[in-house]
Amino acid sequence: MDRFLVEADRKPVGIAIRVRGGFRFVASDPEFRSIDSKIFPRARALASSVAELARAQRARLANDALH
Amino acid sequence: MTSISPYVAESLARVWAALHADLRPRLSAADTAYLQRVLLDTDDDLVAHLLAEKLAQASRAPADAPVVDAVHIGSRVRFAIDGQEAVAVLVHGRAEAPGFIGAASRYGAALVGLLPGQAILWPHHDHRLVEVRVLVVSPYDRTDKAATPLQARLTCASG
Repeated sequence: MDRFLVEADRKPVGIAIRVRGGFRFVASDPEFRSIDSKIFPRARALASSVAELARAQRARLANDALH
Repeated sequence: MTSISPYVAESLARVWAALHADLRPRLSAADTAYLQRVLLDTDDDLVAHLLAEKLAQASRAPADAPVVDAVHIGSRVRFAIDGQEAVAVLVHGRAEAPGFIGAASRYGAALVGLLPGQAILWPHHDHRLVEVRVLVVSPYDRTDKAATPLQARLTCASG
């Protein structure tokens, strides 16, 4: 099995599939659609992109809560 | 340390997989999930690809069936890295305390799932492949003081 669960803030947001050329991210959470199907040569880069999107989502939610 | 290209790491992993085709590590559901997180967190592309190969060929124990014969988080392991023997308890994280080895450390991740007598080649932080051999696996007894310090020689998964 070359598929790995990808989590953000302890919630599953998609899977990483090992493919030729690196790791493809397949989003299960629509918030991560912008990187859906993207191939990352480095597994760490995939995880960093997911973490970055999760941070942006948190900031947006916090901002919405203030207004 | 210059890192190797992810494409070279991918090619090396295919060679590694061919060399270890009969490995069949045994992983519990918890250890599988843990190694997946280590794979996504490591800075070392070769370790990431080798972990992916290891996960791909592992046999999985049911979630309610503990793995007792293979190295798992919580077991006490006697092992040898490049011929140097050590004893440590496998724990979560990148432990550096004497007598403990973190499953997220470079060699901790290599040991998880291996049976006594099994050996694999694993990249040292300088990318030289060294032999990691499991000698004895036993349950961790908290009163046991026999674990020996080895962290001075070991580095974490990020190098």
